[in-house]
Amino acid sequence: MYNKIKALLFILVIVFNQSLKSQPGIRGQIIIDSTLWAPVVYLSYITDFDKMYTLKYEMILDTAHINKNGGFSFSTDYLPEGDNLLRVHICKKKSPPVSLIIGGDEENYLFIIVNKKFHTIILDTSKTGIFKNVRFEGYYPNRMLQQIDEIASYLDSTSFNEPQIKNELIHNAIFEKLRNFADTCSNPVVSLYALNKSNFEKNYPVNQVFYKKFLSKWRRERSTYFNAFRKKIPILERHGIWLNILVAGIFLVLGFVLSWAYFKFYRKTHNLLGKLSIQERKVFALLMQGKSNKEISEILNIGLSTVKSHVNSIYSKLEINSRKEVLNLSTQI
Amino acid sequence: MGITLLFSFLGINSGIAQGDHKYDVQKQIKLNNESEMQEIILPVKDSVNSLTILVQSNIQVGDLTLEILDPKGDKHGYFSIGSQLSTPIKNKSKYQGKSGYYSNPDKANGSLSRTINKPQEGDWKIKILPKDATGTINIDFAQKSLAPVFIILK
Repeated sequence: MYNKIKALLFILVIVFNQSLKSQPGIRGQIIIDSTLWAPVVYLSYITDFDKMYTLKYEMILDTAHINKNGGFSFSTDYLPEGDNLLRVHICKKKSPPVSLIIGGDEENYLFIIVNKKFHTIILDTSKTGIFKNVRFEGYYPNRMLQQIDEIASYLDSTSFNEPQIKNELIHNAIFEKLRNFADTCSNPVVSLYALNKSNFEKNYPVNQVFYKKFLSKWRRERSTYFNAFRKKIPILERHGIWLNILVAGIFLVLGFVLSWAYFKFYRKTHNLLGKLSIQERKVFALLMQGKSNKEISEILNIGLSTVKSHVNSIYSKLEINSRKEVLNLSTQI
Repeated sequence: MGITLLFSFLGINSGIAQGDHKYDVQKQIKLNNESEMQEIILPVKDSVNSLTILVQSNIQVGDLTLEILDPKGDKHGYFSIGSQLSTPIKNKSKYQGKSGYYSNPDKANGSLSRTINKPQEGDWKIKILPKDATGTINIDFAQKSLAPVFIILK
């Protein structure tokens, strides 16, 4: 009986621990050199990938004390819906909270993707350096961020014994790999993270088809990250839409003008000419050349009175009254 | 107002590498309520195998953005920091509540370290974009070269 209660209690403790572990929020464990680093973790909100390396006081959302076991936690219930790019960082003792160390052994930050519906666990228990060997549990996109960082890290590891051209080829291959990652990634924020590391500003003018497809794939994505990204590639987005609208507008107006001209002049004239007999058309053609009745009579070898009769008939059918109007009509045919 | 530039490379701002062809050139820039963009240019020769740029900045007031650019204009790292005094102070107690870990909760520090293997030949730039900034920037250029070269920071 006692053993059964013990087993039941053990199971309850495990279940309780598991449920605590899967509670939404950020929890972590970090081993720091307490002689160098202050035992505080800062959480900052990154609204745009352009601000990944920006740190200002207003970006800091929260602080958490690191306990003696290295544990810390943040609640995330106040975050916007969806995936959010955040940065956790620590500071050296006597340094202000806004302290960013980029590169080198003392790099002091880590990017994470957090969704307030899920839990994120950061485990940094190695003593090789701050955030150098982190293991993530919980929300899956963070493991993909690590893969991207690993690919991008090869950019710095090209050998200086190699010729410049070879280094450039290697860099291009790494950027291509990052673009492929972005292309096949199922998480929109992670895919942008990969693109952001792929030198896309230089690439999009020469690889527009890729970016067009990429934006088409995520056309329903309305996060601040995607809105900011769309503004960075104006050729595809702004110019694309506005140029199409402009061209469509020009063709529409041109269509209206041509249709109007056709109906007003060409068709009317041709319909009127259709009313003339074969002989009258011959006379009309000579009238358009500015010939007199006498000249028409000689050219067509018909009597002057017949010419006058044809001319009167032409005037009547074309609803005109003078040779001047004949010449005006000739310019419209 | 204005930027004060302090150079230190064996007492002068240029030099010829010795023996193992390792160079180390430092430059200190003091900002005093500065908003004017500045560029520090380091000419890099083809014989340079490795270039390490270390920038350490500390500002008391204002904002500072700093970028490392290669001769083609490609960015090789940047940071942007802002002190609390450039913006309305809000939730100051949140940062000061656990004071003792830091002494200057209004200031901002930014460090950037980049090592570039076989850097492109040409003018590498450190672009400094302050906004009403008061503080100090220390820049350290370390180069390893196959042959001796003469360095002048522009």
